[in-house]
Amino acid sequence: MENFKGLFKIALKNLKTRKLRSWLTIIGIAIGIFLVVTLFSLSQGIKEAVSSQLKSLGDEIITIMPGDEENMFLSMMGGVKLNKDDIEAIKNAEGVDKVFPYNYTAVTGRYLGEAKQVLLFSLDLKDGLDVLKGYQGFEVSSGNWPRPGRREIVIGSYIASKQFSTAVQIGDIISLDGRKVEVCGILKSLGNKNDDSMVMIEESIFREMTGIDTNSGSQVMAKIEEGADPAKVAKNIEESLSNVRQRKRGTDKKDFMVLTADKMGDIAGNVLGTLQFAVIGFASIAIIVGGIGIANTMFTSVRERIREIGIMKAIGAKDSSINYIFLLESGTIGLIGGAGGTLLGILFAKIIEWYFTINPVIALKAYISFPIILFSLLFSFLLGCLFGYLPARSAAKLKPADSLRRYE
Amino acid sequence: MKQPIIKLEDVFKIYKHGDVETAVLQGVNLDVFENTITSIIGPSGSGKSTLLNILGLLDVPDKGKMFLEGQDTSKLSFDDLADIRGKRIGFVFQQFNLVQHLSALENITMPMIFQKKNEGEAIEKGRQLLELVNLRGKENSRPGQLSGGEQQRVAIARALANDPEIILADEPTGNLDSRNGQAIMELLANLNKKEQKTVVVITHDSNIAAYCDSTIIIKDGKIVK
Repeated sequence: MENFKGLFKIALKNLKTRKLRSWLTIIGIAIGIFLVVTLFSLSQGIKEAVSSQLKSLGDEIITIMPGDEENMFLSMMGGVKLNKDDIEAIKNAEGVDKVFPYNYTAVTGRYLGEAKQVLLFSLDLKDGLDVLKGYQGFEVSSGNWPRPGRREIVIGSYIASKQFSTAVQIGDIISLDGRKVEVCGILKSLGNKNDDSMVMIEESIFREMTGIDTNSGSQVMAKIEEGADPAKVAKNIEESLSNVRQRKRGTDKKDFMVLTADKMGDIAGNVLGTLQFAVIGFASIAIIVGGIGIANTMFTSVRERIREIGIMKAIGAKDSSINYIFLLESGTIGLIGGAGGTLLGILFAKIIEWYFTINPVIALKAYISFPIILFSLLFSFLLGCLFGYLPARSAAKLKPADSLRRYE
Repeated sequence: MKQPIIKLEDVFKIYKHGDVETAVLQGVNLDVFENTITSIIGPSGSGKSTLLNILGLLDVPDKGKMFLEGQDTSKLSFDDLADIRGKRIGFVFQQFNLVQHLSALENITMPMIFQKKNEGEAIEKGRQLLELVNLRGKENSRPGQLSGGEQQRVAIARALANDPEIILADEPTGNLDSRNGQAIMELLANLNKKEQKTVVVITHDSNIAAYCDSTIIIKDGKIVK
């Protein structure tokens, strides 16, 4: 067993002797670790945010969307809809309790002379409201939900407080595409800008104002019966929908998706996982560059210290002692760089998190955990050792008589 | 007859520069006895530094054998050689060869770190050695802050760190004025007399022979006397 404490002290002295160079190398590695820590904690934060949002949807809700699973975004943007027959088929599937088509359109909202684009959602006061309240966490924080047949809207908290230069109050009149409606309730914030920017109006008024057939839907939510297995009900819906489509339209191509919370989580997880992998992959390049910096510094250092290495060998240092001194030096460079990078990374991720608390586009929390910190410290130390390995070995292999002959 | 502590048997050392081979040592036979002080004198280029490298196990002969207390060292691994150097041989060089960024005390404790001695003991021993070479109070001075004579005394203290039986000195006075050179030689002679060390001094300065029990003369890679 080597006297690591003693060797470590020698290594530290060496680093201190070459302060500027040591710091520059440390900065190199810190930048790489900083990038990875920031990107990891933010992308992990996004993953968690999405998965918690999907969880809030609840197992009891199954979402049915038109289009191909592989071309999800195409069908979303292409305006493909599920029609009345489709909705009827979903309703008739075994295990389905309530069905709630989702319809929305962009309208121009005008408040005190100020015009803004807002998304207007159709609100089915019977089944839809139950689903919104019971499974998606929507609540009015002040006022009430709209009454049937009345030109009343509930608005998200973002619309109420931030969208217009003057805050909107209950009882205020807003015009939507030129028609006057009254604000009857303000929704409790769900923590993200999308949900908090909704404007909801009762179904029949929505139909009247927009001309959109609310018996169809660009998305349909089905609530399953109490105690039913979501996967099984999803299968029933799929079968029932396929049958109806085959009978009514003669198509046997399955061009709709039946998504349980689990499945949505999987899809989102896959997409975000790939994204995370790519982002961290790119950041790793910075780490490799930092590592090469370490190797470069260490090779230079070995070259400058050939005579010193000869002296140490003459007074009894074994190859392994020399090896450890240099590895401890490069490892320490890695460790300090890693600690600095981790600290900066956490700080930066927290700043981003703070930014999104003020501007709640998404509910983003920087994901930071003790094991991650420990891992990045250990990783950066080992990284230093890895890139210091060849220089250290070249130092250890020097012959004492040859290296003593070198004059500085 | 008493066994020599160091024995060289027909040692050759050959350096190659391209196709040219230079035999720096050409069949050296040498006995150094315990508790003696020996000088090896020769002009520059005579092979005396190469000889010191072989005596100090810093290098191995290309032919021939080197025995340390009867043990053949030519078959030992690099690590074993390093271990013997650390424990049984102390070096004093013409260039002092101190590590510039370490303090006097740190230079002296370094050989003990390589022998895994505990830190407190090493520092204690280092202070004693500094006192022995009359450098008390210079613990924290860097080599650059010390005079040549002082640096050489630090080097001698370092050579004594692990209580070796043998001190090898390569031109220990070569970079010093005559007054300092004399002091260093007296110190080495004292180590022989009082601490019973075996001392070998390599030099081109024939005045040094006066301090020694025996003198060996080397010329063109061969012992001539």
